[in-house]
Amino acid sequence: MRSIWAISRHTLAHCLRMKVAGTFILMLLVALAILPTVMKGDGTLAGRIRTLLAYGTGLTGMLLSIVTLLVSAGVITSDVQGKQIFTVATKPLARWQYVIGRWLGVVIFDLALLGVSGAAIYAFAQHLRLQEALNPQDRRAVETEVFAARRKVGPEPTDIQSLATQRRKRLEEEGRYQEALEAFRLKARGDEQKAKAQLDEQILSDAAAAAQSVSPGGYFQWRFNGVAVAGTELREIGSVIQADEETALVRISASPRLLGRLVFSGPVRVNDVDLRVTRLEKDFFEVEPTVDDLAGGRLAGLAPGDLVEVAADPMIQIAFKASPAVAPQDKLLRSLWELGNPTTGLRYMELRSDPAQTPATLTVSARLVDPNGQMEVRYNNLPDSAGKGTSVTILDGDISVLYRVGSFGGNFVRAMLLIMLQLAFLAAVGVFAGSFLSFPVACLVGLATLPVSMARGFLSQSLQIRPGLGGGMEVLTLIGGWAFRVVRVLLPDFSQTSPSQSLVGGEHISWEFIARLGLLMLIVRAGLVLASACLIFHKRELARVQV
Amino acid sequence: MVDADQSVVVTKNLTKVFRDFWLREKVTAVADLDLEILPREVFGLLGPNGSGKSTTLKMILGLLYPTRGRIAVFGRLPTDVRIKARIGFLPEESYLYPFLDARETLDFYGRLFHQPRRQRRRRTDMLLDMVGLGSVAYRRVGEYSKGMQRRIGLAQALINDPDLLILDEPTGGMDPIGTRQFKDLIRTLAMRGKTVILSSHLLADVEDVCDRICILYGGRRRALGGMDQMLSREGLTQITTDRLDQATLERIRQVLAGTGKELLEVSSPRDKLESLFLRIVKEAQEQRVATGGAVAGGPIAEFLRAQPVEGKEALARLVAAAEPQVPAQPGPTPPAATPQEDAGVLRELVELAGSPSPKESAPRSQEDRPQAAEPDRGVLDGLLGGQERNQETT
Repeated sequence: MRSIWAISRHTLAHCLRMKVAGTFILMLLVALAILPTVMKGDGTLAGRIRTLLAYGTGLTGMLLSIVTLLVSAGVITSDVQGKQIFTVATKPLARWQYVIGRWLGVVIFDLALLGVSGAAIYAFAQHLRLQEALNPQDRRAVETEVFAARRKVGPEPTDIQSLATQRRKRLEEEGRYQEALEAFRLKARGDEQKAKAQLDEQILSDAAAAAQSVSPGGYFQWRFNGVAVAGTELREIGSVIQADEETALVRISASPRLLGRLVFSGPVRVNDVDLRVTRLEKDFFEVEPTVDDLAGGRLAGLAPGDLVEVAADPMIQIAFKASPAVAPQDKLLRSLWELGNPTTGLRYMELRSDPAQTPATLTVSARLVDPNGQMEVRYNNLPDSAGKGTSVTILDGDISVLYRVGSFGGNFVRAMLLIMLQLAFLAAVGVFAGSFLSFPVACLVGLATLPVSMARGFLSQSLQIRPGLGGGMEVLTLIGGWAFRVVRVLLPDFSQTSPSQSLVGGEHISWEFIARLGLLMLIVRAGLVLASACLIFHKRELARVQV
Repeated sequence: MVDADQSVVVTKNLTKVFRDFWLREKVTAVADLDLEILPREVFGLLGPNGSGKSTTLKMILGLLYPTRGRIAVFGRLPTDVRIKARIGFLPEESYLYPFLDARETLDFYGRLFHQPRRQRRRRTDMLLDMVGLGSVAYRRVGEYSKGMQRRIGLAQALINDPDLLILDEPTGGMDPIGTRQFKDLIRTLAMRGKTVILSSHLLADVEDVCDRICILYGGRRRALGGMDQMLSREGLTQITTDRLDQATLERIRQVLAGTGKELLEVSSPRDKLESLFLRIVKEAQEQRVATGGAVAGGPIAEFLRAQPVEGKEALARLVAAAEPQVPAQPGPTPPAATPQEDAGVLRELVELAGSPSPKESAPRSQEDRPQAAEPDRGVLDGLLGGQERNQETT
């Protein structure tokens, strides 16, 4: 281990004195300083911070990946080319120790650079957080959607297959199946099997489209499982500052602890009446109870100086994106959301007008989730003011329940670890290539790895064999498919290690995910690559012909 | 300490064939080389460019693998990590890391030997002092002159106090001071029971320090034997005395003529250029003339001298003390330096000159080596020039 450490230290000194580190940090700092001013996102503060996080981490990942490949390809090749290996390999140091030491040195170098750039991004983000938000919604988005680590739970998947089976049965009963099959026979040039396969695919596609869109007046219904909201309600006594029956507005002062749990437009309970925060300041908040509540309910007769029981529940958020078939004139989609706890029967309803095809968030109390982590959500597609409406599509992937499980800081550290896993793998690739190739060729091999790993998901889809292609194309696709299977075993999917999306969406990156990915990427893949490098380097002659 | 029962390096039918991309035989660098290098000897590998010296050394070091034949270093394969702790190697160029300074360089190599920090520091200080780079220890090695790089290269080869020191063209680029000091060092190490393998084109250096030499040509061994044995000219006798006048010379000639011998050459010995140079530089140093380069090296590092300096080395010294402190003469015992000439003639000559009896032959040292060896360089040069001579003695 001491030999490995000696080589690692030496590699780190080598990397630092190559001036790569200084150049990289300078480039990154300049880019980070420019990004928030050049890229405004959607004009909101949340948008600016999201832009910074997305481009900052993306840029860091990309720049460091390239630096890692170049440096790792160079650490062994430069020793062989410069013949310093003569003085190192003749010391009591196994070849595998040399290879691992070089790799470890590059990884430590990466860790240092990533630490610096991560700290810079974090500091810039926190600096932006202190800037003035566009409006309360913007501030709420900043605090609950960006500077948060939220777990994401998708709805129970719609059983498209059974819907397709029902649809096909109906077509058969109505005698229209054969009619449709005839059309596909023509398309398939009389090939019965092919025609049936194509028709079934069409039915499946139609069923999927029908299940994920709803006409005006209709509704979607989803069921969410496994929503494990942590934390309990916070109940304190607040003091009424202002209560106006005419405007139905109640202003209540509360402790900073309780106010810290509230968000603009988020839920709050006053004397066990479910309300929404309509204004949130440093030492008070405002709610707008209904006239009925103020007249005869549990909030009747409230006057300044009265004490009320204020309860802040843990919150959950429903994030969704609705796409209309035809864009409404005012570009707003009207909907009624109904949420319910299947066990307690507690229900919550909210009328909304959300911009079409734009991500939106509904913040509600976690009491709507039952102890088993289940919750039902119903979206009613309402007609517009003219009584008309449009069909709305919400794909299963476009709706999710999000709830806070950790801090932004912790999530950010885990996001950096994801990048680090990628860099450690790339360092292994560079060292492997450098163990038997010259520097330019090793760089080429390493740099080819990067785009292939980044586009692995896309390649996986594009190389799937689809029926209906010509004979020659099917063979080519088959060969491509097998080639890609080999690549898929050897190379990881870097879309998994890109933390940009998670940070932008405030989504929690779990330790379990990192551990699983680390096991696959570091222990299995990088381990295999490094073992191959050690074996090759062990067998290799380190001197050349000189006669 | 080297195990005296074990050969340090043994090669048997050692062959190295370099092949091209298509695995066709390109060149045979070393062919069927049999060598046995014994403990405590300074062994010289000689040969013209491309004769296979460096290839042989690289195979001994495990940097190249033999095509055929076997090598054992300390009884193990050259790739065995355990033996490398006992080896020091100075390649034909220093091949150091230009971004490290001298101190960092030695520290790095010390770490590879798992030396504790204190030991690394002490040895680094002593070695830097020894090679005369103490004053430029914080300058990057990349900024050093070639000779300075050779010095730091030598220091790295000695950081582990090796039992076997392999030196490939060690004095190339070194100034005469460094060369002289380097030769002294080799003799000191040999006195301590270390084995040194030296490959060089500088025949004078080899001649000054080696006990045995092997001459390679075209990858094959052309000659192998003890230095004295190979260089001594059996039929001639050289006497060094105070300056003689013509009359005395004439009388000597007559005495010799009376015994049927002939006086072949009479000359005044010249000072060696090396001695002259060293004297002038010493004077400059005494006058404290400023220099930005290497200064005269200090004394040989304590841990490389015979005195015990560290616990482990103290033990090694105690063991060494039980062994003879003169270098063992490997292989067949070479003939004595002074041939059994006619003792009567010698006595007569001594009486004639009225001078004290000739000095007794001391263990070899640089100063006392006879100049008579000089003409034999022609023999070596002839060999290096391709003339085939059959001087093999083993």
